[in-house]
Amino acid sequence: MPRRLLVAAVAVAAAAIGVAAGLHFHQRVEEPLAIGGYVLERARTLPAIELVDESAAPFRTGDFAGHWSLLYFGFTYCPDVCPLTLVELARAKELLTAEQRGERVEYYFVSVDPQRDTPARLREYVAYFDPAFRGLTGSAGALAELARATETVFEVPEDNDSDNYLVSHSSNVVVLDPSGAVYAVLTPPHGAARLAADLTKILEHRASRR
Amino acid sequence: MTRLARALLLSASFAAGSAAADPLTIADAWLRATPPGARTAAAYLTIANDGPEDRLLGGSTPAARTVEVHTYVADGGLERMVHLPELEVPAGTEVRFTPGGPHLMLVDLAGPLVSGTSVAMTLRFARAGELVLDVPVIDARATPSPAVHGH
Repeated sequence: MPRRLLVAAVAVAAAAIGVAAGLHFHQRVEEPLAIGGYVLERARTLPAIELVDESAAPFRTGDFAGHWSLLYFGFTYCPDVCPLTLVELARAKELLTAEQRGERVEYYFVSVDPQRDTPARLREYVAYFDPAFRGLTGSAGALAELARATETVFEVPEDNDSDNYLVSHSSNVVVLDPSGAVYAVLTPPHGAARLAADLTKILEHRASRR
Repeated sequence: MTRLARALLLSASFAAGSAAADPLTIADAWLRATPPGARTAAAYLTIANDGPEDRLLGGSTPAARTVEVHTYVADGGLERMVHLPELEVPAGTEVRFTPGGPHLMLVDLAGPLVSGTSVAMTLRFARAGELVLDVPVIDARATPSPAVHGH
């Protein structure tokens, strides 16, 4: 082969490899998952935080490991968006049991109002929506740390001598993967069908990443 | 027809005090049945105003200490629930109170709100005066909410 032609062939081959590599690289750039919310670029491991569950037993963030977890932050004095979301989560749970393919999902209502929401109060509250729902709360410091780690915002008024103060909180549903790390955040409005569809996509997404 | 739709059709009939020429019409009123131990509840309804501008000043019910107008105001990542001392009901418009949006908050319930019952509620307006409603209590677990609005 004439030398010049050989150079040209090598150049073409190199270009082809480059294009192939480029395409390969391009394919690795993930399209954002089409869900009502977002998947974290890298799942975020939670710091060790001690909470208390609906039976007044200690609950550590490590206890989120071993199954998928959906966390919704609120307070039981919340008349509107908390019951609304918990009803939709309970319906989504029914829709999902058929599609989970062996993946376990636990549902947690995290009260950011420990002053009024005792474990006993939480237990009767979450059970009203679904007998399998769990309730969590903790010290103000523990709740603030959990909120920070889960992209959640809440605010309890400082002047709450009366029993009728209002607590503000974001209405996201936080999705933890079976390693207990924050995997995705679902944003309102939360309809059951959409919650179930989004969670199914998230489960598939993680399976395809691994 | 669902139980909820039937309830909505039957709901919000003025029990008393409504003049024939009343410009305000209230429809689709319902109260969320409460979980055990609840101290608060939310009521939802639509106010249609065929007359001049009016203002909703609040309400009352034997079922709770007070009835407040609440809405959400975006504040950073937070949706802050705020108590509105009054709510404008502009002429020729409809004001809707829906789950996840503006709602009437019943504070300090006298007892649980049980699905299938109904609760008398008085709404107080600056111009139209007092309107008395009979609001059905609905278990949202059993029936899809009429509307889910993001906030």
